[in-house]
Amino acid sequence: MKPLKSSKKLNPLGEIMNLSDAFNKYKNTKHDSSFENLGDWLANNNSKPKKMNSLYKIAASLIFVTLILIACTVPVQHEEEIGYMIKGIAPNVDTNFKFNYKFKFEEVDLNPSQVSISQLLIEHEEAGETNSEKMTEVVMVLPKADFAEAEDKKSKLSGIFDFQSLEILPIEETVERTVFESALHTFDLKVKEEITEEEITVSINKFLHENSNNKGKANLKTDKEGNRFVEIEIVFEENSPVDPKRSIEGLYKELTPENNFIHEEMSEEELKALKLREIKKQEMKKHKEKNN
Amino acid sequence: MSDSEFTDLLKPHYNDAVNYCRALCSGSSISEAEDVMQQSLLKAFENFDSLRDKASFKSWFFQIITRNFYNSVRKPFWSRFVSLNSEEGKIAFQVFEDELFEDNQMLIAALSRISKKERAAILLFEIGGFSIEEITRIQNEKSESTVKSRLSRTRKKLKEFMVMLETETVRMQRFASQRSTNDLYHETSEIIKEIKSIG
Repeated sequence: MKPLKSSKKLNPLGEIMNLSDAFNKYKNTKHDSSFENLGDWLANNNSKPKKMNSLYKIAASLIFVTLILIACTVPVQHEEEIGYMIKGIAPNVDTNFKFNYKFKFEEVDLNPSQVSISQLLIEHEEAGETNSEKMTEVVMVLPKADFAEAEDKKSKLSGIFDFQSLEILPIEETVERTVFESALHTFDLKVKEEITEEEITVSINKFLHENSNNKGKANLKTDKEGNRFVEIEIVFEENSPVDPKRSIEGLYKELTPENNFIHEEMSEEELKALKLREIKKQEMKKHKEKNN
Repeated sequence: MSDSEFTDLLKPHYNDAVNYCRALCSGSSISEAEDVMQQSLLKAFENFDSLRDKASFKSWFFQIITRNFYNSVRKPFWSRFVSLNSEEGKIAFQVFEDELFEDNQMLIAALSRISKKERAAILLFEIGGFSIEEITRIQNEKSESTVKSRLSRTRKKLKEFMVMLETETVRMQRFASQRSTNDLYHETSEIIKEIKSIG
């Protein structure tokens, strides 16, 4: 007995059920007529940039380079930092400080000659009355635009004085350079120094007098290692409300017992220190006399 | 690259590409299909320099058509009516002619009922003659099995739609032939009967 054939699904639309035939029929549709116009249409409608003639390319490159060179020689002015000034205001220094200030500076590795300390009289009104208060102004000038170094000196100074305010002020100088030189300078490629030492000194002095109470003269000096530093000379000023001589050294001298007029202004601690100093001196005298 | 190099490479695949594009845009009007084709041609022409392997020109060009078609479906409604040929002073170019597709109306109608990804997959296979691997790459799919199952599903759907459409056509033809007798009186009375039965 023959096995029964599996029932085949009858398809009333057998021809169409064959997808491949339908697709093959569709594939035979030709479009040759439109292809003939394609080349012209593409050439006229595309937004592809047209190729530049090599002669024009060379001319354009030359003009471009010339324009850049001209632009580089145009002089421009800009502000350049030539150094920093550290300026701080502290309360009037006490007796203990006056005796030990040199030691304190050496302790934090600072040269006292580079720091200017002067007294300042600050007036303020309280209940209609004008009161004046003695303050100490500390100024240090660094002739090098190195902010990290300025920060370091600032922290060292804050270890010595009990500052009410302490700030770093940039000292700027107007410099005229060409665009090309400015670019080189910006990227630290310029070796030549175009600002002379005299110009720096003038700028520093101008800045010092404008931004501090100090009327002294700043001198630019170089140490053995070739590092530049600024020493500030103290100048005596007539008719000044505060004697600029009263820097630390001045105050120290004022504490000598010969200057009796100071006793009235002295605090209790200062008087105690003076008495101790007197006792020590007397003991030293006695000791010398015994030896003799 | 010269302009003729592009047309030379395109020539053997031009018919397939145009047929592919028309069938791909089967749910849209002829002018929309025209726009997709023209944009694809321009894009391919402008970026022809970037095609390093000229041997893969066909799959590269079909991929451009497919992407342009997807973008045209996504683009805003109003912009679909802005045709490339509307610009003045440019050479007119028409790819599609209505009568060319008259014999394939049923296939195009069936294709319009399936999703755009399914349509692209079956057309790439049947018209483009691409392998499963190539279709996977053109459609940016991760695995070949996705394309395989998509093709199988699409074939089944297409068959069903075509049977349905053909049945509909046969019924309509039969109905029309029944009515078309020479007896005008008889035909009129039949129509009156039908109207009465509906009423």
